[in-house]
Amino acid sequence: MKKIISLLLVALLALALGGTTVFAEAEATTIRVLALSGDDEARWMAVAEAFGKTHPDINIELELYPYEQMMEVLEVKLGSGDTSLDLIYTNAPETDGYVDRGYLMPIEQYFTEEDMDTWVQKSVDLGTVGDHFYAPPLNSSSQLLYFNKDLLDQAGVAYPESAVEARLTWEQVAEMAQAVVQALDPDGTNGIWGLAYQQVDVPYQILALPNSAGGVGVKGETGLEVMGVVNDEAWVKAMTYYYDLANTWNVMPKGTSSTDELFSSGKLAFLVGGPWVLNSFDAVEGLNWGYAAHPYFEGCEIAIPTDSWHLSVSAFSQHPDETAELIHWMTCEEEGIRLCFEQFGNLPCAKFLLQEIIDNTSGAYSDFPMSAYSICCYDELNYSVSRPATVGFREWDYAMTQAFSDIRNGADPQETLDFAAEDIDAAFAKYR
Amino acid sequence: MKKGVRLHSRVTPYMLVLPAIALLFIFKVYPIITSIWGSLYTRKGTEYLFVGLKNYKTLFDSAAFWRSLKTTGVFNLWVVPTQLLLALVLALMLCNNPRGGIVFRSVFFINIGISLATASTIWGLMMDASNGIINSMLTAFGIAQQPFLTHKSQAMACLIVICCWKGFSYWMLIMMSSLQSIPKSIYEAAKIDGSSGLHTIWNISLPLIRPTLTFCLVSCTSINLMVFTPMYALTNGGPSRSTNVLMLNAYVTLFQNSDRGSAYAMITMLMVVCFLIVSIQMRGMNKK
Repeated sequence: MKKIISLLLVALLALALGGTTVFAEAEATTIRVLALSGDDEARWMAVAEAFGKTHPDINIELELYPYEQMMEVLEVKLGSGDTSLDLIYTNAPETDGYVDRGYLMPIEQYFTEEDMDTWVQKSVDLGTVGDHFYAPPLNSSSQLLYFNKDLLDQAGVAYPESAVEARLTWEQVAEMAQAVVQALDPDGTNGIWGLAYQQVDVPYQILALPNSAGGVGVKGETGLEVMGVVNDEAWVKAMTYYYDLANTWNVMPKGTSSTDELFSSGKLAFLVGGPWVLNSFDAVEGLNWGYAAHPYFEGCEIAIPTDSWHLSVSAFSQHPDETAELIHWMTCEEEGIRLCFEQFGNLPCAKFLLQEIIDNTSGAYSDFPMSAYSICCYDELNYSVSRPATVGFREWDYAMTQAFSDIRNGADPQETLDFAAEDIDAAFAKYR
Repeated sequence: MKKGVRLHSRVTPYMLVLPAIALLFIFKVYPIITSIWGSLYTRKGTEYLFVGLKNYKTLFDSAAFWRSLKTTGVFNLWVVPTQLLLALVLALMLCNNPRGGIVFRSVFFINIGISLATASTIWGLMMDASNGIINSMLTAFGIAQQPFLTHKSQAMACLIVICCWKGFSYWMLIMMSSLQSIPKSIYEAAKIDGSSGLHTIWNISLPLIRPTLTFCLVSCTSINLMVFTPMYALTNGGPSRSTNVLMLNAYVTLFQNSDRGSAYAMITMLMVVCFLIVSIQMRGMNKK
């Protein structure tokens, strides 16, 4: 019995000592990051590991959610003044709204003029509200038109050229998609589709259609005018095209589908998507694919989706200095910028890296599929159109997502856009 | 009796109900007070300002609110009677232990063990307009594919089917236990008097389980007035707002639009509607 008690005491002592060791390690400041679950977890782990080498006194703890849930958790936590979050993963056009609600801390004091000159001006502007700077850019984005070579071959449709000068129009893409579906799945029993968007019904991608047709998201000095804006002629033209894809030409799936999976499984001829899937498509065995520049409407403007995630410090953070230090490392310091570009796979906002990709100084962007980045960077610098800068972006985004979904599933474009304009206008009333 | 013992016996009952009262206050009364109180404020930048009944005025002026209220009404007018009638018919059929009754009972009870979120997701996959199994079956029988949850003419009906499927067996279980508690001697006496079939059900079974039916009606109504899981999981209130029930509208207003005052006003209105309907139901059911 005595032996057992002695052993227990030794074990307890060992546990206590172990606990102290953990405590000693835990003396380092822990920054809590609210981020996206899925692939982002590994990316943030890589960031934490690299950052930890030069900043052993700062630990990173992740709180991960899928996109929709992350936005809701953020509203609940920051809306109630929760102090547990430090670093906020900010969707670029949401910055105004977050600042209006008092969620973000101004952090210009942590960034010198030289630091601010690191990024393209558009990204600086997105992170600035009034006279204060709140959100340095982690990355930006662009879009490509992916195509399945095998399906095009089987349907006798020529591949689109990858040069930006040979950019297809949306009308041409629709014709090619119809040709594929008519040749390979005329009665719709083989599950072959012509065209789909990676982020189904999400304004980030779909807004490029009305933008190309000449439409804008909001008007007015305060960005709160939507009546006669999101339901004008340009929008109706663009949304009629979107409606026709799914309802008249039957080349785009209705309901809920993972379009990435459709493309990876060889069931989709054209996919409009971001460059972050280049590596994952390349890893799919047997997938014979190519890419081209993002299309536009014939005789209209070229408009390419852009912007992505920015990083901010929570207004309620207990560790603003350490959080700003991490943000500075990720967005301003070369090691961090390169690592984030490598990990997140999206376009950088740092001018030096954008130029490096365009010039292909390292030779890393000569071969397929990485060569697609040169198109993305070119489009980003020349044709990118940001989502609406408005304090009510969240309401706008929600109503437009609903409208796009309704239109894709068969609702009348004009009626649906009128409906959306009415809803957004009512939701904006509180900001006026 | 000694003074201490008298005091003890007087205090003990209150002490025994105190935990229940405390929980009731924390989880029911406090949120109601918070909602009503919160509905009198609005956010202006980072501050919350007292605006009196302005949120209610805005709500009553909003076409979206009345549309949501109507949608909530339509949904409940279908779901509550369907769930209860289905439950009653099946309870009457199964309470007499028919041949194979155990199998049917087990089958009907399966959906009690499935959460509404899970049931909604499974039904959503089955009803998918492009890849759903129901459309595959329709195609196999030469019937045209249906849009189901993606068209405003069918989405609400689909949600009603899902909610009825998920909800009826719970009420069936309660009604069955109530029916089985009726003494057999009453039925035997009725039989001797020449009563049978529907006559017995109408004049003996239903009057005797009336308190249970009242409970089921009131509970079913209040539960379904607050339902938003299938709408949230499957349609997000669409297509064309055709399934945007008030509870979902309040949820979106609070968590998507961060408009706490308007969301609380909606919740308060929903509570008022629920209270009115339940009061009418209880008065109706308690009439002799």
